[in-house]
Amino acid sequence: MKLSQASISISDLHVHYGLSHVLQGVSLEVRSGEVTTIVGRNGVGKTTLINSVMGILHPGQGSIVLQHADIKKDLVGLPAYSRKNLGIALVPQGRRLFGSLTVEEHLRIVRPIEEGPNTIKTIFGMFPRLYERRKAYANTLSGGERSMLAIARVLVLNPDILLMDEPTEGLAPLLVDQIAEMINNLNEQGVTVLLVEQKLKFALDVANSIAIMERGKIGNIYPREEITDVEALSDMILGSA
Amino acid sequence: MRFWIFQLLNGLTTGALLFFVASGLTVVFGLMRILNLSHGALFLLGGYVGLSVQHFTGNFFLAALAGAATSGLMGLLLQQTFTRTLLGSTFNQVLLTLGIAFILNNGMLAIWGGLPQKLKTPDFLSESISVFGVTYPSYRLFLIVLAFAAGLALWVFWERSTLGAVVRSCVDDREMAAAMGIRVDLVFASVFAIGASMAGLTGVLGGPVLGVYIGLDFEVLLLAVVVVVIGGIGSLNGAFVGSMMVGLIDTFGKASFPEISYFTLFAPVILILLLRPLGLFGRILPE
Ligand SMILES: Nc1ncnc2c1ncn2[C@@H]1O[C@H](COP(=O)(O)OP(=O)(O)OP(=O)(O)O)[C@@H](O)[C@H]1O
Ligand SMILES: [Mg+2]
Repeated sequence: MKLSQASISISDLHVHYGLSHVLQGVSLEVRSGEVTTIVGRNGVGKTTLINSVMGILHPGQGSIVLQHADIKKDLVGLPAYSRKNLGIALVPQGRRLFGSLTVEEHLRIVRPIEEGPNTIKTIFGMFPRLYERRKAYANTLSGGERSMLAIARVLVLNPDILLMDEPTEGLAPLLVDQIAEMINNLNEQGVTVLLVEQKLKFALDVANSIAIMERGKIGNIYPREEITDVEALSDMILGSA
Repeated sequence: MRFWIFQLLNGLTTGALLFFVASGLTVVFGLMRILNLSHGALFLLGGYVGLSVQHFTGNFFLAALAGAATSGLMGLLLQQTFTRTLLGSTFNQVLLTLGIAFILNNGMLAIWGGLPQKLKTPDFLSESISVFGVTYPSYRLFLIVLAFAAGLALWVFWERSTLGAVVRSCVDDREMAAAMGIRVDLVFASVFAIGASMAGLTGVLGGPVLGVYIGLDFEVLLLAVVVVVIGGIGSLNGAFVGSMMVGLIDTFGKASFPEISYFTLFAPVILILLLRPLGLFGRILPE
């Protein structure tokens, strides 16, 4: 078991798409070893935020400071590929698999910089279905298999910080529960998670704290204990701007 | 009968040379979405450099090496200088890469002059041998064999190796490839440089067959673009099949109906595109 000490502080982040000002001063603490979950209505900027942390989008203003063991670094301006060596990985919205690669190739094209608990072998152990389909091209996989692969391909990296953007989108309840369990396991191993989620029950199952995102900004942030149930959370989102 | 076998072998020779040129063009197009219209000039540059090196050293292998290296470096230079600003705008790409093609063309004219020249075949391949009842230059047979071997090697690299998978991941989704830690910029630069050096190498390999002359750059570019279009953008299999088809059609067309050889080349091309608008092996590229 590893105990990474990785956290991210986002402050006053601004992102524009052309003329539209999508993130308007986002601030958020993603605390070490916790699962921080962002919920919010469609189009408020959740994906924009998580992709900015990943370096796929480039904020015009603000900072994203990574604190990792002895390293303290502002990620803004660093290219996306640098994230791997800093221990950050992304499960993107819509999976975004490589259609012309087989399942196995998805796991082979990356090499972790440090050895960790996960190898191609252990991952195939965790996902027997992917092992059966290892020679299949990603564009022939079912929805559930695609989600598993999107998670599996970043677990090979043994990340310290895992960014997940709606990993349960379109999945059957049984699979959603499996993913919740997996996130809890990772979290026990010390992995810090920043999760964007629409399924509120799932969000409550895994989160340590829940941030409600409003249009372009983070609104209230609640520790998990303060939210009684799905209905309470749903009311909070509906009540947000 | 002999005429047909002879033309068949000629067509395969042209197809072989085309494949070496078109494979680089199509892979760069598929990966970076750049149609590099200076690819023909890089081909001819290799040919001229090879010509000079052979002139001074008498060594065909050195000539091939020098031609490949020069075009590869020139390609790398172009890629590093221009492609960042070119990515995305098709119109800029066409103007800029065509402009570069003309500049290189004029530069080569200034250095090597306007007289058509020819490389000498390497000594050990200078004999003719008899195949299927016709006597055929062994050098040309060597080119055909080389094309099939190279096609197979490229296919294995592309479809079966991990490095090939890395390149394919960049074709599919370069943002996600970068998110997985892949240096997409280095992949782009390497592929562009390798494609350019293959073009340069082909300029030398083709030197004893096609000769080396100003204007050959655009002739080769036209045929290579036709190959990419009928094979399907980004497809190595398509480049192989397309090259052999274009090589054969072009050769038979010129041999049988020399007055209308453009018609005999383009009529089948148009037919293929009507039936398969993405080319024989094409697919819709992501993004
Ligand atoms: N590439 C783009 N160009 C222009 N506008 C964009 C682009 N991507 C997103 N937007 C806009 O930015 C806003 C935020 O989008 P984003 O994808 O971050 O929302 P989201 O909260 O993740 O939504 P969802 O819950 O539907 O996934 C939306 O209004 C969207 O229309
Ligand atoms: Mg989203």
